[in-house]
Amino acid sequence: MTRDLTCSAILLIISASYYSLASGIGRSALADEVGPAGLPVLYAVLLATLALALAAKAILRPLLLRAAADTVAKDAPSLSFVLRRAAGVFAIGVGYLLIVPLAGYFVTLILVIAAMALFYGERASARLAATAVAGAAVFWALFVWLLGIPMPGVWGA
Amino acid sequence: MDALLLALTLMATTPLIPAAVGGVSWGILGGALPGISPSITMALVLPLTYGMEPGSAIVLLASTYVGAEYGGSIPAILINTPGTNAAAATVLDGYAMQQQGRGGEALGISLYSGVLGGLFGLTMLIVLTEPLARVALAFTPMAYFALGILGLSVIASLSGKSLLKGLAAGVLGLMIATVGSDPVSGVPRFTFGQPELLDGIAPILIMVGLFAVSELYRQASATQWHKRGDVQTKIRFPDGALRRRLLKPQLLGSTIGTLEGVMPGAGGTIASFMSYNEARRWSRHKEEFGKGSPEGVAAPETANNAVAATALVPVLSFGIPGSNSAAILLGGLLIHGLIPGPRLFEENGDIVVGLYAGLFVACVSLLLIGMLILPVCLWLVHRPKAYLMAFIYALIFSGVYSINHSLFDVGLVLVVGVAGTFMRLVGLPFLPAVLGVVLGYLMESNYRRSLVLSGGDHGIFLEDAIALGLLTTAMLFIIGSLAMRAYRFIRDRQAPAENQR
Repeated sequence: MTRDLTCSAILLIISASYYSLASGIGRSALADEVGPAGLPVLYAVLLATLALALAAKAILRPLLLRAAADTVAKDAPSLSFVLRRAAGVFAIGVGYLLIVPLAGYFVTLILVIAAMALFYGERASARLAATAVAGAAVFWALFVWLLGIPMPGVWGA
Repeated sequence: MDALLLALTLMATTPLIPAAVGGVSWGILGGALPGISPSITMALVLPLTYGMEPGSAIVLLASTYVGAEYGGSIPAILINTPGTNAAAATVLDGYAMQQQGRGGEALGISLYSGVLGGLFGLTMLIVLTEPLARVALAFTPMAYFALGILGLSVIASLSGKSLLKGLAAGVLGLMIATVGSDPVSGVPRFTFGQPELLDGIAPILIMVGLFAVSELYRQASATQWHKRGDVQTKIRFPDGALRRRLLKPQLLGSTIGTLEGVMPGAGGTIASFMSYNEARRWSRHKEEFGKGSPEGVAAPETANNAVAATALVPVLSFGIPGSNSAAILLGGLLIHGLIPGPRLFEENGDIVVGLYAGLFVACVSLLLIGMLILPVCLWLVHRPKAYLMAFIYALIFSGVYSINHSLFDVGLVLVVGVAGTFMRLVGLPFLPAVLGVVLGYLMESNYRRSLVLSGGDHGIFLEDAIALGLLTTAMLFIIGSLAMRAYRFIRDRQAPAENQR
């Protein structure tokens, strides 16, 4: 029930924000009868309706069916642990975005591979360093040399 | 018979076979890299075709397309990352099989079904080009809108346990599809002043973010890496019993893929989702879908490979490119002075026969090349978890950047991954959202074009015969899915009560 109510609340916030942005879309002289805001407004209303229905179902269902509460596996990690670990991977991604324009594709990829392997429990070692360099070289060969993609920063293109 | 002899002669006297094999190999590589779309893969070989004789050049491009459409399913099955839009439907059961240690079986089914789908599509291309071309021409904006509705009707059965959450996810997808310039007036919507968003958000970015990046976030908190002793590290093709079981979904996939392929703009994504849905509807093992069903891999794989062949119908018959890939093929034809249309078949019959022969070689070589490279891919994904996750992240960064050469896209994918994590936590399914993103623009643009044509009268959707037929079918699908849900709900409520007695 808590999960569905949380879901409903998030969907309501999204629909309200989206509706507010959709209402502000400018109208062009070229616009048709529906207009650029027509369907977005409809989608916002539709999402809000679904969110309310979900909330109603979450509240009424246990009363009507005496259904069991959401079950969580005993060995499942806690929500805060899940979010912290996910934030760690996200941070490595943000680090890539910040460093790649300065250090270039090849060097940043070495750092990303090494950081991810360490984050997932691999110990710092010569093997890890060698794997990171070799992996970055393979990606460079594939994307830059073979496919001709101009990757960002020095050593990219 | 003359055409067959000509095909054999062309195979023996021109570099048609190396062109087909080379094209398929290159295509598989490109398709298997998330972000490198079939059209990019084809564009990269286009310059090579300048110096080639026309027949082999066209075969090289078409074979690249065939290989790329297949290649998208490899990362979909192995690392939960669809390499192409059309491979999104394969993720569901393909990755579930991989997680159960049945990755070799899933890859075998996808390869076997892909080759069958490709051969079926090729046969339809050869035999039915003329009538299929008429179907393509009959499609109006009303029919395209109705096609979008038909595609969305699949949401009812892709929603998992909660229909409301499935519908909400579908609407979220439709909302994402409205980002960018308005299809009629060009007014920017939800772009927040970012020029990168003016062209909208490519569906592949949403798919990679939702499926792959959110999976990496999730795996970060997995307490242990489930290593099983019985994990398959070899490709396993279906045995006799499974082949018989797969026949129905493959037939559905081939038929739907053939029809969708000829419609410019429809593409393999709608075909693969609809095939998945129909395979589930007609399956005797419905309960296995979403949990590693072989039929759930076979149907979409057959469909998107059938599309790869029949998508050539509007290009060859009228010069109408229905997708970016078809536009590049059209470019290849024009570079060599070949003008698509009915006269192409009369004046350059040898080129057309050569193309058919080349596509046949491409389908066969798809099987052989797949058998060679898939065990290597399977071995790669069974490396230690820490390295595997690191390399998947690096692949995502490299592939996503390659789409538009944009770091903004990479950041966007990371954010979509965060959204995907929250969707997992609150139980919102991904596939309806993906379907909404893929179909949103097609639906909105054609809905509004139709209303411009009719002066705002919605009756136009009922006056167009194809639109009416598609809308009726969509309505039947929705009613059928709802009835099935109601039946299951009543049955599940009665079962515990009977057990208590």
